[in-house]
Amino acid sequence: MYRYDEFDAAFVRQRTEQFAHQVKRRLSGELTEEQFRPLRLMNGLYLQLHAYMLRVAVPYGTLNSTQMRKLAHIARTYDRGYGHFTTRQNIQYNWPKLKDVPAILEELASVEMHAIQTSGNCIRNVTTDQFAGAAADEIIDPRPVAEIIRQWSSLHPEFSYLPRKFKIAITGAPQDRAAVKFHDIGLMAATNDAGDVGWRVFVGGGLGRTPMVAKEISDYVPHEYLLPYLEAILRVYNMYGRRDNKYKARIKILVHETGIETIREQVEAEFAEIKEGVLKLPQGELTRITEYFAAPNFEPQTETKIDVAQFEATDSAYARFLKHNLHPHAKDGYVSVTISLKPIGGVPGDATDTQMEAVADLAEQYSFDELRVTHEQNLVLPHVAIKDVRAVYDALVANDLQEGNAGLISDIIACPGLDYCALANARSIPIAQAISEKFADREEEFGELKLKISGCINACGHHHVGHIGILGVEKKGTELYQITVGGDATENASVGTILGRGVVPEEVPNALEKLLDRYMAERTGPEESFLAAYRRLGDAPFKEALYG
Amino acid sequence: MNAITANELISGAVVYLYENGDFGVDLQKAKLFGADEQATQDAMLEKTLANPRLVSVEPIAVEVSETGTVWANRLREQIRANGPTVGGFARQTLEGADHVSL
Repeated sequence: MYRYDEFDAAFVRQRTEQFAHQVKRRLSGELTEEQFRPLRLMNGLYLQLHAYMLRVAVPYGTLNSTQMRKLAHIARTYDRGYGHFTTRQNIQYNWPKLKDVPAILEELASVEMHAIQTSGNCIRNVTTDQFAGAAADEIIDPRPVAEIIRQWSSLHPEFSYLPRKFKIAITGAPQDRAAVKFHDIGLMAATNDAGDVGWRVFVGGGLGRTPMVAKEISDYVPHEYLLPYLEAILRVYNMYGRRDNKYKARIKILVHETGIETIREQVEAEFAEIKEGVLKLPQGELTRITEYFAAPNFEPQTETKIDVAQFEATDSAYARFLKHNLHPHAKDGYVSVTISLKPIGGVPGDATDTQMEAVADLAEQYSFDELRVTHEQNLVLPHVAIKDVRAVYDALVANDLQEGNAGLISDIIACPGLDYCALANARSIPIAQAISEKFADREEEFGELKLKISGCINACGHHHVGHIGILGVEKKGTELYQITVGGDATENASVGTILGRGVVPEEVPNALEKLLDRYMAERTGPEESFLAAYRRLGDAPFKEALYG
Repeated sequence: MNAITANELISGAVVYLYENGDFGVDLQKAKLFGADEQATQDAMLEKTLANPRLVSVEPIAVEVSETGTVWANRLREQIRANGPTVGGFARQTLEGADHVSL
């Protein structure tokens, strides 16, 4: 993985020292809250319902064991012994004290981490496929380009005060596991007629109160021109994006109101001006960055398959884990292992300090010291030899991390909701807990089902793209939950449809049961997923199941 | 009725204006302002806003039960007063003292 050079190290160290000084001035009363607020937000520090919340960047979701151990140490020393992994592949701490934040940032800097640009109207942490550099279906490892985008976008002088926040996602595989079409810019690896690999570029996707699927702005941009092309998009957005209304300030609104053809023309004109300038990427630089992401030294393996069936009768929990939590690897004899942070009845995305340390140990011992954070709020050991899977599983069991539910109904994305978040209108976590408990014994029969829960219209829980989505709202002081169906965050992107009026919290699991019973009755067979059945049937049968 | 709430600067903890003018974490000790005390409430609010140890200052609607228990009207404020409804976590505590003086 990428290692800081002298510039990176000095930059993060200076920023850490600068913020420590700003905190000192705030605590002494030299800075008012009005003056301090933008400074703390630039360093990922929010004030939530009960306490401060510190959001730490995990660039494109990649960590090593040293970094994970540091995150565990911070959780134990400065917080309450746990951290919350997010849909932006970051980690959040819910209870830090302001006086401790400079020390936390110093600890992070010591392992090449920081919290810069995890808030504010700037380019946020670039996200990618959690199986990048490992997946069997990958065209190209997107991490070198993600790293180049990280370097380009960090404290970019032109893009530090954009009309609104800006999120970029990138995938190197045809199967989109990074939800690129729901980002301000989405990049998908593409091959041109000459067989060269470059990037399809999508623009104007997003969730929130106005969910939109991104539109293709270019079907092919070569590596060397990617940065000038991104710069051109950002310049057009910076120039024409609305600043008069924060709810209409994202680039999706600009693209929607202006039209993709006009935006494309504006971007192409800007691109023509700068494409041969300083941002044109020399092959040597691309090669230099790519070398940081060289494949590990995989050893030939004799064991190349696991017979799941042999465990179904004797160890059904392990069989479930094998069936759902392993992902095909590009190298024979290896798999990527998803570590579920969704225990039945647990808090989605939370991991304790001891769990983080256990995962770090596993990464070091079995996965070439590599770890990933997924946008679905799980962790991944990207390179595990098949012969080691049982040992990994046993270690996960010892640390309550063994849930074999990746991709099933209990593998829920949920925002922190009203239990923590200052913006939320309704709780998300108790709803997720109740649902996972309700269907713990049935989730296998439902098959693949993406359930996503948001506690407000800002949609941090991605409810718009859940096969089933749940949105919490507040009406006359009461929590109500709207249910949507048919959302999809993959390359076949779609926004879910609201089925009707909201239901009270206690009724949410029963409402889902009605939908799922109807799905089970209507599906053509186990091979037809909930989403496929919905796309075949439309929403009528599901509305009827829910409301009669 | 209203109470005045804020977050304390160092810890971020939720605090309430007490009868004695201090800010502390217990809603049950909060000074309550009736509908006829708007001017007093506004004056206290202004004084609170000027205190650099307090941020996110605002009045909240509360009710008092027959047994004298103070309840925040909105769920958001009930959760602020009692802590997250999940995870068993206690509320944030103040740093080094049990109250903040105006």
